[in-house]
Amino acid sequence: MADTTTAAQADQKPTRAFGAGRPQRGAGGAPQRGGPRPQRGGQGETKSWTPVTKLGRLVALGLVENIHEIYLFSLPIKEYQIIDKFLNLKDEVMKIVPVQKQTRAGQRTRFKAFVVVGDHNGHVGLGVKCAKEVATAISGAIVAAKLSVIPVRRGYWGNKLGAPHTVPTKVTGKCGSVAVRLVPAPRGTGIVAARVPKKLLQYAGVDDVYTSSRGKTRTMGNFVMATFFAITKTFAYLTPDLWREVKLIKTPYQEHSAKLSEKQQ
Amino acid sequence: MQDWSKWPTVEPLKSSLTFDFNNNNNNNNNIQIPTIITPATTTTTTTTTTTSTTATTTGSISNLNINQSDSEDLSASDAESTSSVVSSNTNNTGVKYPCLLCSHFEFESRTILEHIFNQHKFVIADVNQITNLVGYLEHWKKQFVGKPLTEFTTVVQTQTSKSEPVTNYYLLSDILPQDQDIRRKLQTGQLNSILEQQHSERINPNFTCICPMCPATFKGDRSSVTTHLVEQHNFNIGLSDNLVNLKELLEILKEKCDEMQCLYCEKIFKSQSVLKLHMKKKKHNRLNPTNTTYDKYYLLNYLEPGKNWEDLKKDHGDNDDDDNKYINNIDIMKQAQNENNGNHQISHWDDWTEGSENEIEDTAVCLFCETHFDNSDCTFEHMRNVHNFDFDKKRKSWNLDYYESIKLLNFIRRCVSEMICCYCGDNSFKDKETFFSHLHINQHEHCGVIQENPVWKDAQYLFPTYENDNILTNFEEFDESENQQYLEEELEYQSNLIDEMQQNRDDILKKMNESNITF
Repeated sequence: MADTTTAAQADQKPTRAFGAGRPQRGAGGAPQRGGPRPQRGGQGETKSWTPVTKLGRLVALGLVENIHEIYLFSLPIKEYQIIDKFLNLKDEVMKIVPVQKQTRAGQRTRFKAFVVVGDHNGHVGLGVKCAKEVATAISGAIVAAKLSVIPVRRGYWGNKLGAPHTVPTKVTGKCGSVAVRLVPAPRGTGIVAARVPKKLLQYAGVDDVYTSSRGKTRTMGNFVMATFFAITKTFAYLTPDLWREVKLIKTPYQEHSAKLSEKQQ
Repeated sequence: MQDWSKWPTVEPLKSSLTFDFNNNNNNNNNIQIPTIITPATTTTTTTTTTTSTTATTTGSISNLNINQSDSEDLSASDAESTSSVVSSNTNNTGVKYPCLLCSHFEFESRTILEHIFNQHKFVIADVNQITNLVGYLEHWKKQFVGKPLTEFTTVVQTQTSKSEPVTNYYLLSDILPQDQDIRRKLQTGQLNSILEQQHSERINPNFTCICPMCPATFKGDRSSVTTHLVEQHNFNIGLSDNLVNLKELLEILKEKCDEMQCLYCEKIFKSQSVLKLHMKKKKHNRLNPTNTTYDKYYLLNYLEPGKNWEDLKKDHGDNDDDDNKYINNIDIMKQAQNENNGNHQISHWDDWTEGSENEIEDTAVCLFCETHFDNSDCTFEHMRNVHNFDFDKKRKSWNLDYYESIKLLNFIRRCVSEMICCYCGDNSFKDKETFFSHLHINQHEHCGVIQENPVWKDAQYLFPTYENDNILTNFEEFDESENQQYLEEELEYQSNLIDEMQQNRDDILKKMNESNITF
């Protein structure tokens, strides 16, 4: 991936700029005056992405119109640029913790970053990454979060007026000892939850919901993962309005198999 | 039957009320609200109390002399010290280093170590790697009370010459597991507080600073300054995520630039243009790596005390082995399914546990008096014991579903805030004391609601009366049975489906065999 190459180059030169080094982008241009550096959240110069997976190639060619085509067939997404192409995601660092590992030569401490991404309108992802430097951990966690983006189904509490604003049914998620239950709420209630799950639900685009939690919620990691699993289940629940039979359609791999078998330039 | 129409009418709230945590009337559990001091303020000190010494010692300066803004919880055995925000300029704010074995104080780490060596023949190994010398000294001071030194230290015998007597020197090092423990705890404490500080800097929307090399100002995002320095001035100080106390660092750089000093080789030049030419020609566009004053601004240096960043870069050791695999959306769904079946895999998320700083978020307030509690379970228990209000029993006996329980709780909250009795509707109270005494008469008979009263079933009580009301999120006893039933039904349906498919397949195969179709 693009990030790891710049990090490797930085290691070669003993500079004070950890992790950033000389951003040698493109075809070895002027070494000193490098291009804009890949700051977190900033746009900068995007290196052109050469896809590695089949799905990546289809997306790069523009043969996949909507990310929901990918979700329909439960295709695993292994390149984060696919998500970037379809969605405009905002990210936020929730926490950085130091973690330690015991080695023969004493202890090895590293930084672990927890990041949430979302577009406040139906897509949310959580990512975690451990690295020696904070900046590396954060950018790695953002990549991990983008890969784990999940669609969130919203519904109505009562009358089906206006846009969907709450979870469609009561859903429960469990992680470790923590179980979280999301219950539909009327319009205007807001998100009734603890601070960190509230942030996750805001990034998901859920406007009103009640939450109920049980277990050791002090383990914030499990708490937030349990809410994440709960909102994952919104699209897994078969409600009566989805009973209507839909015609089977071909998967993107099958449909565009001709294009895929073409040799890549 | 009571006439419910006489109940005082209450207007629906426009927006939720907020709790006022600063006023505690009769509190069983005292909650200390930590004051978070932003890095913008200069010198503020919070007094620290240790459980052993009666004298209060203020501040704690680590060997790197950093700013710490949050209270630090170093609960080794009993040692508790909270660190304060001390500006790096004023070093004489009364930081006292106590001697381990007598009641002598010094104001500098060097002099106290000299004293310990000269007076008591005592040496501490790897002193430079201890992050918080004061905490360390205080901890061991307590441990040494009443016990011989040799229990904790190793004895080194020296003899200057054959005729002179043998002198014993005592060495305290981390061969002793307790010592290792306290050192590690101090280090993680410092690391956590410095990460807290970086986090508060990152989310601070009021961040403003000036570029050291030109008069441009920057607001909001810290990374804008670092990108500007790279793009416009070709000067690289590192990614903003790896830095802490960025404002101070920029001020130092600005000072140096104003004095016409090159930031890499630290030579002085005659004018700005000469300086710029020098930096361009010699390619001195980074900071001097050997200058240790910059160390405290880079987070990498806090990981392992005593090792600077150059050593850390050298020992790569075993890189992240298990972390290289990224989890994608399908893995998440599989993990969710596993969780439901009860197989919890130790995920990467298990490392994040919230410490004591989140006590204020867990606090819950009783419905019928103004007592605060550490969490909602204590609150419900209190209401059961003191106010004869057993919410779980009421839910079961009145058959309340989720929404009706929410309405009930919000209704009681609303009544108490408006000083209307939720039981009888009396609203003639002028102040809180008479109101609460009314609620508590007859063994707290009025702490509750009459079921037939239609007022509490109004839809306006679906909206929470108070923001961040923790009893609303925690009143439910989790009914595993509801979820369990759905899961069982789902499994049954799926197994039926599979049986049907297999049956169909067998039928087709049979028909093919009978009609002898060959391909």
